[in-house]
Amino acid sequence: MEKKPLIQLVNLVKTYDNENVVNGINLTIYENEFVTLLGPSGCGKTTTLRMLGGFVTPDSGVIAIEGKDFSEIPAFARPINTVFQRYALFPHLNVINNVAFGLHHRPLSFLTEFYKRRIEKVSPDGSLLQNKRLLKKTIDDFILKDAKEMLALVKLSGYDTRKIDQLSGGQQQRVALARALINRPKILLLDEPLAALDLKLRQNMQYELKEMQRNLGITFIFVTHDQEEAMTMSDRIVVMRNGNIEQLGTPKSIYNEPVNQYVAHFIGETNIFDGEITAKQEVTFLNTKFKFIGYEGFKVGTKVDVVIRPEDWDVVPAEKASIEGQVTFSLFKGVHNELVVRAEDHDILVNDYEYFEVGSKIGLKVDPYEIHLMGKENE
Amino acid sequence: MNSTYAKLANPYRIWLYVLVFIPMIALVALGFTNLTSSISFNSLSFTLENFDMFGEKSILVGFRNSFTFASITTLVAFVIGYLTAYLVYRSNFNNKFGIMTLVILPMWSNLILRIDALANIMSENNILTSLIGFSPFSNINGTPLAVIIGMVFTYVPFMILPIYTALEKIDNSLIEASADLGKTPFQTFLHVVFPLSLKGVVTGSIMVFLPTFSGFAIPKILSKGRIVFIGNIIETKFNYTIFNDGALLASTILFLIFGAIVLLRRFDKEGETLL
Repeated sequence: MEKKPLIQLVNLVKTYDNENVVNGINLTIYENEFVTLLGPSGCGKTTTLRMLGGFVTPDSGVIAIEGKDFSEIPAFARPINTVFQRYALFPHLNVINNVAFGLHHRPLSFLTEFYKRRIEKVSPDGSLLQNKRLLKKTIDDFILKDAKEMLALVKLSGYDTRKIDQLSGGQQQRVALARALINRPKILLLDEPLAALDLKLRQNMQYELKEMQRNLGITFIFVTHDQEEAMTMSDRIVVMRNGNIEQLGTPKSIYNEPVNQYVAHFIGETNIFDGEITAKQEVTFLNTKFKFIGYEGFKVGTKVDVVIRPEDWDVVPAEKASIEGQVTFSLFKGVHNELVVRAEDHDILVNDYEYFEVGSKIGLKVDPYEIHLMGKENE
Repeated sequence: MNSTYAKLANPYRIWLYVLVFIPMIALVALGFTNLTSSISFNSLSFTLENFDMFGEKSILVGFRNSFTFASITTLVAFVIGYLTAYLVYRSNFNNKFGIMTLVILPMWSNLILRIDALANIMSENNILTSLIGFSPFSNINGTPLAVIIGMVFTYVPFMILPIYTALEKIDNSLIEASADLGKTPFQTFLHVVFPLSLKGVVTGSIMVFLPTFSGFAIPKILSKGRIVFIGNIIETKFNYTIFNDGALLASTILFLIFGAIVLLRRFDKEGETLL
């Protein structure tokens, strides 16, 4: 199926105090996609999100939604809703009124359009449209019903009249989500909404958010600095640094084929070695020759960064090993053991299911397809 | 609480008992006695006759004047004060605290002096006529308008400060959230900013209403004695040593103030907007 582009960011620039916080970003986001902007604090991910939401005006560039330029359109007129980092729930309203806020105080014409299909269902001959008072009452009923439905969706049924300060962090987060979703936005922005939750709750919410995004058909744009969170939920991840996009791709491709050391380090613990292509399909690092697969583009003699994930090393008997080393650190982590192996004057991170004592000598081997190469010029 | 530290409060506690509680109880009690020109325990007797006073026309007019003028002053001060507080809150001044200091600056000079100066500007042959040759308000002295101007001028800072404090406490993300949910800036003001600043409005209104209701100096000077507030009546009663009537009226006002504080606590439980 051909995917339809929903949002296009073209050369988006935002400067604060002569510093480009967002430095000419180009990004296309498709319908019903879960895209995560990932990076450390100060990488421009939040500023990008805020420009999309309309809270920050870009200095230059285009924000197009379904082909229409929205850069100059104020936040209240965008088909976008946001779940804020600290939820920003209205303390003077109770839960149900918070949820319904986006539909309250709207002109009748807007609401008639918003509930067009349901009004047609209730009164197929259109007579309801003639009676303003009855129409208003019907729409108010719709709004209340919708708000209750949204609360049920986020598993907060029965909390209608609670005050905001009587809710826990996780519950507030759910209310914020319901408040955004009731407007049936095309795009939902989420600014680190899970950062304040504890681990268990966060994992539950990650799963639920992903479910909702699939079921509701909304495009989610998620901002986080937590690479695990990004991996779990996203269809595509945008890794950012200093206002630039470093890499854009599926979680798998970013994990397995990072374009440079920055991405490789950010996306998880890893080994990066200096290497050189010494023959066709052969790379030398740790004073040892290794076969690899793919990467036809590298000529013999090219200096490269070699990335090998800790779990890709295999511990094998000495006669089968490519290199040998001594275990200098060993930690049981539940599912696997985390080892540091000293070999050829380098510390190698190795994850293995077997336990080895500190000081024991082990042999290491890596399969050719698990060797990932990055050109030095990508930095 | 550590008892050693608790003892540090003793000087103030004694001060409070001797100079506040005892006089206050005495004042309330005095309203139920027959003591007028002289206070002596020999001729002391309990009576409720003083309450007959509330049927007198002059007293009722005093209460009515106090209430009407205090209400108008509160309303005008609310409009001016809210606008000022809101403009400062929305402005890009670096030093908003400095602006607020300017607001309370007039309070550094004596109230009577300021009101006398106002009375001068409002009468003929005032300082403005001698300085610039004309005076825009030269003949309003003695009118209700003069009293209202004087009271608003004096008490508007008490309205500005709590409203400003309440506005400053509104998290900017709430305003963003409102815009995000489709509200225009005006709707955001109406449905988010104003409700959240209501605490400040209630605090400010009470802080303006009470002193204008019970005050007597401003109406006395600016109406040239033509408009009598309940405060003026109390002053007169005490001046003419009709202690029991004066005390009863003063107790009534105390009772009203107490009621207002109870009301305030319902709106602003933590006393956030009280500076």
